[in-house]
Amino acid sequence: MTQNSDTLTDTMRRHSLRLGAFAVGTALLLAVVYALTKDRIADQRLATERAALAEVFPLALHDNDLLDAAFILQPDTAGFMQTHLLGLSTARTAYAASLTGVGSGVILPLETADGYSGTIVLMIGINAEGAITGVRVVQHAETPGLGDKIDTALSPWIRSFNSRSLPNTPEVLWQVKKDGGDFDQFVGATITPRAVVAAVHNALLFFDANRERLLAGTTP
Amino acid sequence: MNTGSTESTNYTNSTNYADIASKGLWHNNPGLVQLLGLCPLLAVSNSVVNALGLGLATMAVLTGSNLLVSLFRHQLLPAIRLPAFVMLIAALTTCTELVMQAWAWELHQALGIFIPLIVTNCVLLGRAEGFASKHPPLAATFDGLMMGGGFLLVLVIIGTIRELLGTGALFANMHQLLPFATDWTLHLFNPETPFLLAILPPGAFLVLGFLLALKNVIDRKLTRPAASEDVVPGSKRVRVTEQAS
Repeated sequence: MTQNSDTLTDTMRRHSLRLGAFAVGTALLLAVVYALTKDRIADQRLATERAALAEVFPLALHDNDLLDAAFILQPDTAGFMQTHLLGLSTARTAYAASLTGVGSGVILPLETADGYSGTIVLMIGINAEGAITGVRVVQHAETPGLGDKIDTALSPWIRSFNSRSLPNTPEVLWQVKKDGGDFDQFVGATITPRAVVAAVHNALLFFDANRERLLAGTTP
Repeated sequence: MNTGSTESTNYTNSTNYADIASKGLWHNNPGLVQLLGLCPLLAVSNSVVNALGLGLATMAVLTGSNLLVSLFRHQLLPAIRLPAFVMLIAALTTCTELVMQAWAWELHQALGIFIPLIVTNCVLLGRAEGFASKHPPLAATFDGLMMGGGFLLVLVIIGTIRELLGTGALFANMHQLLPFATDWTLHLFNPETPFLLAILPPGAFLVLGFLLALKNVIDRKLTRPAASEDVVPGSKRVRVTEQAS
């Protein structure tokens, strides 16, 4: 009996030691690979973020580092008027652009739940004159082949917002053509473009209501 | 466990590399015969670049895990071998994920959750247990390459068919995997409205089904001259060898 339990303890000790040694080994392997890739991954991440921001706001219009000028917009951020226009369901990042210390525009996050499936998350760049410098879809779950043409990889449609502003596009034209507005819908998909047009219009209204604060030249 | 019953009997003989290759690529193909790892196989086979990316990542992890399992096969006592295998596969998958993030960031973003999910691909544990733990490192590495290659092959074939039917083009976004492949997109035809079924999940099932049928037809053609063999009754699911037992 004593011998049996000795053997059992012995076996258990042997097994746990082996498994422990194995765990240390794999952890070491992970640590080495992590150390080797860490900096490159951080660079890639920043480069991707900068490239995404440059898509909606031209580099020529700002000389500050947008990633340093990021601020958080909450669904109920204090100090902004009519935040509900952005449709945010959660806190998202906005970026204040400035040129030689003067506010030159802003990149705003916006959401719409009026698409065909799920929430569409967008990013919009607006310059100091209130004109759109670019709109991009950050995340969506629209039908492949139909509603997903809001993605620049599939269709240039979303570029049709470029240089639109409240003064140059009257209220009634902020609709798809089917509804009497100025923007194309897609064959077989009207709901998605309709939602995006409305969301972009709302973003301009939000900008208009908060223009001074957004263009203060410092991070709001 | 009845895994690897035929393989374990012949491991003392000199390793037959042609046999390993034909099993991995055809007779015991993970995607078409073992039907393992179907979840990633179906989910990311919507374009060639996605299929190639996940296929290569799976192949790398499988080859690495086969090599390491084989190297430590005498230290891995039966009682601790499963947790050790899982630990090893998880570590290698994480390494692959880090390397992809560093050198193929966009592709990593496109494949998303399916890279970490390589850990759960049954092919990996199946080969570790059924082959690598019973064979010397060189044979195990070769087996990993061939099994991974077979998986990659099926993924790329399904990816090619789905991308072609669904978008009318091939090799879109190849720069995500190969930075120099900036303009490889082949527009073969321009569909008025894309054939959605091919891109959506049901298309993956259908294409895989046709491939399975095709393989069976070819196999039957090849074996017809021989006398029909007795079918061994029993479960044919999750086979690690090509023979039902």
